[in-house]
Amino acid sequence: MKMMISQCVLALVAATSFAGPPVEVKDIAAPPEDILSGRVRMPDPSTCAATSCTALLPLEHVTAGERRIVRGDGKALVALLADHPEDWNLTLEVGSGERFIQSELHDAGPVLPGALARVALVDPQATEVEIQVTPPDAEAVGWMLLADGQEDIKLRTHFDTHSFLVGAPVIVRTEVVGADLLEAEVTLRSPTGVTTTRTVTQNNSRRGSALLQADTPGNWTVQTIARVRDASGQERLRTTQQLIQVERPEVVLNGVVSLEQSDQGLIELSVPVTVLGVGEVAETRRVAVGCEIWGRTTDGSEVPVCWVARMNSLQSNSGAGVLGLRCDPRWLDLAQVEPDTLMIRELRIQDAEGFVPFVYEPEPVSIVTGSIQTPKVKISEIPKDMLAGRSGNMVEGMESVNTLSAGGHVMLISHGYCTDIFPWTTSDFSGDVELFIDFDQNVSHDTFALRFESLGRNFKSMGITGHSQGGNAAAHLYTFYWSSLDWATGNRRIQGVGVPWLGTALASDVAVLGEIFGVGCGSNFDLTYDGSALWISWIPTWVRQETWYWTTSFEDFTFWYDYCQIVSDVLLSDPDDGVIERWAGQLEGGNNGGHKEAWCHTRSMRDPPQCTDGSRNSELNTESAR
Amino acid sequence: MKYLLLIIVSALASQSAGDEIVRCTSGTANIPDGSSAGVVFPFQVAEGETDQVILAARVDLEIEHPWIGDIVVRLTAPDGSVSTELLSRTGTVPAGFPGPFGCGGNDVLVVLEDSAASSVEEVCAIGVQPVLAGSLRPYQSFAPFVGLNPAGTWTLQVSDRQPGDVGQFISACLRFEVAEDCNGDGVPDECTCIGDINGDQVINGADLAELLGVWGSASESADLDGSGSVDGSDLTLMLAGWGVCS
Repeated sequence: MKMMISQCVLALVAATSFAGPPVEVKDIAAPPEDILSGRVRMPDPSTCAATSCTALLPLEHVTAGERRIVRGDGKALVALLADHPEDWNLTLEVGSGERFIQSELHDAGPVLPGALARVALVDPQATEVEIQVTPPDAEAVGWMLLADGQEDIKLRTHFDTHSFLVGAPVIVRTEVVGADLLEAEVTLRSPTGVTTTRTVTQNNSRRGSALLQADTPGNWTVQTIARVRDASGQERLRTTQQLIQVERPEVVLNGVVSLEQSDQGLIELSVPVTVLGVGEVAETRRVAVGCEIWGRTTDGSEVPVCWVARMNSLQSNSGAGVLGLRCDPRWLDLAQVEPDTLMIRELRIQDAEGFVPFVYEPEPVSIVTGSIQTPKVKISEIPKDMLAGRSGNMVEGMESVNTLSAGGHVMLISHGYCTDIFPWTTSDFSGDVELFIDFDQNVSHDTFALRFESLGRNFKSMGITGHSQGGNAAAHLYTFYWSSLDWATGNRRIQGVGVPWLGTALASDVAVLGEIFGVGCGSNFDLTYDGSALWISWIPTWVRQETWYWTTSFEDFTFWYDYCQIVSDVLLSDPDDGVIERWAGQLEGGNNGGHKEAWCHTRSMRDPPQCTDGSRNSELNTESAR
Repeated sequence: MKYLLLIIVSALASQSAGDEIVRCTSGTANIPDGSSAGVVFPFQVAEGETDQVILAARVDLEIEHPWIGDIVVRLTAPDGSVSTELLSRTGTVPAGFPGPFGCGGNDVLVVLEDSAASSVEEVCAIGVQPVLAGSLRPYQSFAPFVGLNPAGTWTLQVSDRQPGDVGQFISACLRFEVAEDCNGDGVPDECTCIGDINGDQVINGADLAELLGVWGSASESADLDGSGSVDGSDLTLMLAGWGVCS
């Protein structure tokens, strides 16, 4: 076999590098099973809650009195997150004050990328510790992460909507598990750093809510700080951090959805919209449009026919526009419904960058239906062209990236979000392998996918093996766009290791801290619990069935303080790989390759990085489609 | 540049079917990978076999190849002056589906004819094998061959323009629908309008004036019955067809 491993450095492909050849979007569909299972439905915001048994606090909170920790049975630590924590003094005074525990410097890793943290583990024998922290000067800024080890007491917060639009009210709902809520407040921080704090109104002893409103587009952080009292009367602090992507309400539904059969026999759905803020909307702005089609059978029962979706470009030069969808009439035949009984439900128009909904109409919308004939040829199973069809519609692609090795069938291996080190052991791979290298980037799944497409133009076909966000981007590409990924043949089209299919709490924690310290690559809503839930609700089963994934976590010694990354560990629920919790690395409907202990997400963690697992890499190499 | 030119010398099956001339290859051949020269198949139509004119052409083609977007198939008339590309890296588009490397489907088992409803460029699909199947219009029309005399050696060149994937030529049949053309003017004899001397598709006073102007001479254009002189029998033929040619 020909040996070919080459690198394609996309460093020059910055976030503004559209204006490449256009990319054809797919007309995608999913069967009724995907509708009934909820797999392609707008997620319930309450299922995307941030849950925490720790408190992440600005230093002022600690110096103003939150100095005491009463230890529980779990992992307890105090971490100082600061620009130069090595210049700070942090110690814990135990019990009577006779014993001091020195803190150590650790890589802050995924929580505060590129920075150090001063960390003090709380002795298992200690029941109570007092925090002594001294900044090097009055100007120094720091945050404290307090984990008291009482892991059964949790703060859970979620939003009542995913429509994070400028001017639209958003309610934050809080719930305390294992204790009573004494008081809580929510701090909303704008993209420019302006903060607004709201007191949480208590609904009962454990629940409360606060109303928020964002007045500018961009990434906002929401931190909830709750003081709770446990069964023994002990007061404790819990915080959650959440990131929301706020959009201008740029698209509104404007009229009746029409269904007409084209000359080719396909049912064309025209969704009339008004694009607001004309002139301000970028030419490259893309929105995902999707809906459920229902109908009635001869006995009058309402049944789902199919779910259809397509990525559309917004026409920024006109206030009025039509967003298109297409339905293969064979779906009607399979569902045994009459064309004149069709209904459109769960109509969604969501931003491609973050999947924030501009339009969400769960109930049937007004439609006008032309004459529709169902096909004479009956089918017994669903052919692939009913799930992914040619749309003929284009969106602007990324600037072309040329490679030295063009024209073949390759396995593309990719890193994930914001890295400056290629994670895979390239010597574990052989044959036609291409590396996707685009270091230090913070892009949406959609942009990441279009960069894959751009590189993929050099090859007849490619299978993608992605680490972390690289897995999301591969599934996104296969779902929405025609590319050389569609032409791959072999066992596994998409493989992913340590992929945040359901998000990671760290995406929000990084956003909160990154605003203060300005480190890392910036915040990324797609990687949060909310953003991931919004995104994955567009990934139908047929994409998941062609995706293989693996998770890992730290080696569990049972009687030892186990972790992959000492700081992120207390922000994530065990088991985790230092970035992704095991539960959040699951792709429902996908092919679970298994979970391995003693492997962590990236380098500089306690156990070896998961992408250097030679035995798995060998399997990935052998099984990858090309 | 060193290239491979493989010519399968007329191991061709030959048959006539009414107004159809059929020539087929026999035997398979590997298609050289990444070579514009490819493999060339001659189809011999004997010089003395017929005085005919081509009304329509079609090609039955079978190729096994894992990436038909690599393939170019060109049919060239005997004198080399007229040729047409029947497949031309099918599906190759700079943007969109199928992609810059063309259609990635497997195999060709197709009847290429101008009257087909769909073109070879319209049917590429993933997971369908053979990806080009049934009756399809070729990339370029057979129209340039209409009106030619089929006699001579036609060539079908099959090449694979992109290195990497390799395939095999299985078979091809070249089929010409023909008609008699005894005077060799490229128009079927039954369509010749006797008496239309000036060729304007109408037999009228202008033609009569030309005939009378050369009365008694051996003018070929006005000697409609080929008797050697323009006389009363030629005038009779002209008057019999008077009016618009049908």
